[in-house]
Amino acid sequence: MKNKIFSLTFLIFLFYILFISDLLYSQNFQSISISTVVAEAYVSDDILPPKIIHNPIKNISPLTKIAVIYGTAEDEKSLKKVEIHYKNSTEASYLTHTFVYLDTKSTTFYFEIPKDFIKEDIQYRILAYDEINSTYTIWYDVSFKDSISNKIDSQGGKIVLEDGNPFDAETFIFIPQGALDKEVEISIKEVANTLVPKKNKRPALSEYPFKVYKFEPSGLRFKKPVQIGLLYTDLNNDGKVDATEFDENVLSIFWYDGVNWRNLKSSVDKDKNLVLCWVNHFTYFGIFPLGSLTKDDYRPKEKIITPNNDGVNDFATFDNIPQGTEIKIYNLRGKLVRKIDSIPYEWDGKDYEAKDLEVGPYIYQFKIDEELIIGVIIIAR
Amino acid sequence: MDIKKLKFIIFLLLCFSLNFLYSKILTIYSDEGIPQGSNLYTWSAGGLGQFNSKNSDLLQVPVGTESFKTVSNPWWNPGGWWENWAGWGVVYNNEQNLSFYNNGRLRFWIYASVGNIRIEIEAPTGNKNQAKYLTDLGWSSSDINKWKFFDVPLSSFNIETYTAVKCPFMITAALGNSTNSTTFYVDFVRWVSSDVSSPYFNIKIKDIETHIQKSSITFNVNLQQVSSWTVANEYIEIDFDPNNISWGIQIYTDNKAQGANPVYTGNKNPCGLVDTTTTTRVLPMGWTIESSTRTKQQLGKGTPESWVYGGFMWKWMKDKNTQGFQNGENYITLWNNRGVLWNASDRDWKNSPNYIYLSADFSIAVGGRTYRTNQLKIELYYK
Repeated sequence: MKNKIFSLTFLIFLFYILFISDLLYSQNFQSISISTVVAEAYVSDDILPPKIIHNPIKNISPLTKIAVIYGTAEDEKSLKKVEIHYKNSTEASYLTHTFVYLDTKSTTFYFEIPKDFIKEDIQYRILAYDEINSTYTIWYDVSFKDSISNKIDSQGGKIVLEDGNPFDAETFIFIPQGALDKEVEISIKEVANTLVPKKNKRPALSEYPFKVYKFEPSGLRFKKPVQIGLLYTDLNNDGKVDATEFDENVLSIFWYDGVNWRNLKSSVDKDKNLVLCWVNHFTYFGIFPLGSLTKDDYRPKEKIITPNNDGVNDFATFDNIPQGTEIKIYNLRGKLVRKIDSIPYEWDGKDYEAKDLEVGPYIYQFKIDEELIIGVIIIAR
Repeated sequence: MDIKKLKFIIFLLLCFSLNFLYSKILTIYSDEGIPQGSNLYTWSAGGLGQFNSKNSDLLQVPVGTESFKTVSNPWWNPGGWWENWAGWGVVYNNEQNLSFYNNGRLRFWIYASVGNIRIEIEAPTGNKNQAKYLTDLGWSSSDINKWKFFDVPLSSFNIETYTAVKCPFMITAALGNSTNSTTFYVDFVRWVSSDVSSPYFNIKIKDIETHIQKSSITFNVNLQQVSSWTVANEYIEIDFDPNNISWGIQIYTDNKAQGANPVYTGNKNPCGLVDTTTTTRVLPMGWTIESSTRTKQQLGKGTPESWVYGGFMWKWMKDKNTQGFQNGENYITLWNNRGVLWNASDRDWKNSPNYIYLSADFSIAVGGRTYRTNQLKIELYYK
């Protein structure tokens, strides 16, 4: 009997422990206030950060103020955003231009820094984001200058004046080996076209050159021709020089002889917005639209030359002469004293053996489009 | 500009600056001590009063582990009568502009055997204006030797404005010529602004780095960079002012609740972040609570049972449906009247606000998926 009572008591106790106490416990609990929060994690399997492929711009022309930031961003999963941060070099704060993408693995970006922002050297960087990673470039330094200079010696070399447009080429000079016999500081400077003399009406079709570059040291002559390439702008790539109605096919380089702008036989690289020609001396070179040529346009402007190396009238220059043309110089007795069959189409008053010819009149003769052009040049001393 | 508009703008700026400068709860006395720039003053008949601002001889106090103990002893005045009074107060070194709390409340806890204990505020210096006795505030014989919560409008002290507060809290047992020693305890004295209800419980989600307010907890997870536990980008700031001695705050998920999105559909422990693609899978979560904000570097990876640098321990998160879940138990109670409950034997009281940090284990996560709970609960309770 005692055992039964004990067992019953134990069972009641156990029941209390298991149920009643828990019930009392939960009855005592009183929720006063609950805040519910959302927690979320997107687990990306985008392992690699995006890639930025970009050829940094190095210089901005103060005249055109073109600064185009162009490149490609790629991601193996999904590219979300590209940001371009740009600022004046002297400031810490920067402006941001953002491109937002949806489900793009590869994209090109193109951003032109507003012209009114560009007042001095600037810096920019590019950032690309995928859904979880990001990549950024260093801050690129971009100078804001209209000239460049470098030393070139007899080994030759190339100097490039960059603009801020990656879609075209750059103004340059290429000096082949042997064109110089000593080291010379060569510079290219872009000049405002309103600061140079106007062009006489013909054969150029515009009053002012579209672009002018001053090559220095002024008057420097090379032992063999050097190539120059002058940049013009066609940002919208419509085949016309920006802000003009002139087709880029008609562009030509002119050189300034101190009185006149004179045409040089040039070629146009329309893909690179570059006009190219070979020259043998330094002066101002400008890009003009070239009209149709007459016989007179091929004749030298120098009717009398004084070849004494004083830099004045030492040469007679035949303008516009196509490569391969043969110019023959005769004395009055009909003797052929000199033949010029490659650039530069200049006559320095010397014969075949580079000896000074006697003073007096000489006859030149050459053919353009099967038409014979004849004229007289007088050597005086 | 219109002078009225200008005044209005100045008023708005003033309001903004006041809100910026002052927290909603100004703690006058707690286990953490008294405000910077203030001192404790005591007074008693014949200097016989006994005071202990860090008393811990009571088993339970409303907040933390300590309270302010005062013993008022009788003193025979040489003039020929008994006196019995003792009190203390918090006194600012320089008068404080606390007008932000003008329409707020004075809140405190008291454990006493008599009702003739006087509460005063001095503002400005020398002006105590209207004293309040416990009996004026609703104390009765049924409250003898029990902790009782008081929530008193600051306006009832008949002080026009609190622009120059010298003493935000003074308490004195005024026992006349009683020859009996009397003991009373005070705990967690604070001023609260008018919008702090009683009880008060408010949370904010903030970015760990910028402390800018956010709307949800997020994780940056790239499987290449994260192979196990990682800490969330945001933390939860909790601000509270309970009015019951048995209060606590707990944290848990409730991933099987109606309204859960996604609902956990498996048959294991549903705690954590639920895989939105395969809802039978969850990523375990962890939590910790800190008395000041921490950097990700200090927080570490958030692995449960590891330590926050210079702080507390990371604990496992539970779900309401975790087997054996009980409201108010250890491991889910992140804060109770004694302090942070990360270890039953080592609690520490820090005034509100406090900061909850969260972590999750991504070792079984699958790339390209979202893991989520919209049922992370933070709950103020009484028990």
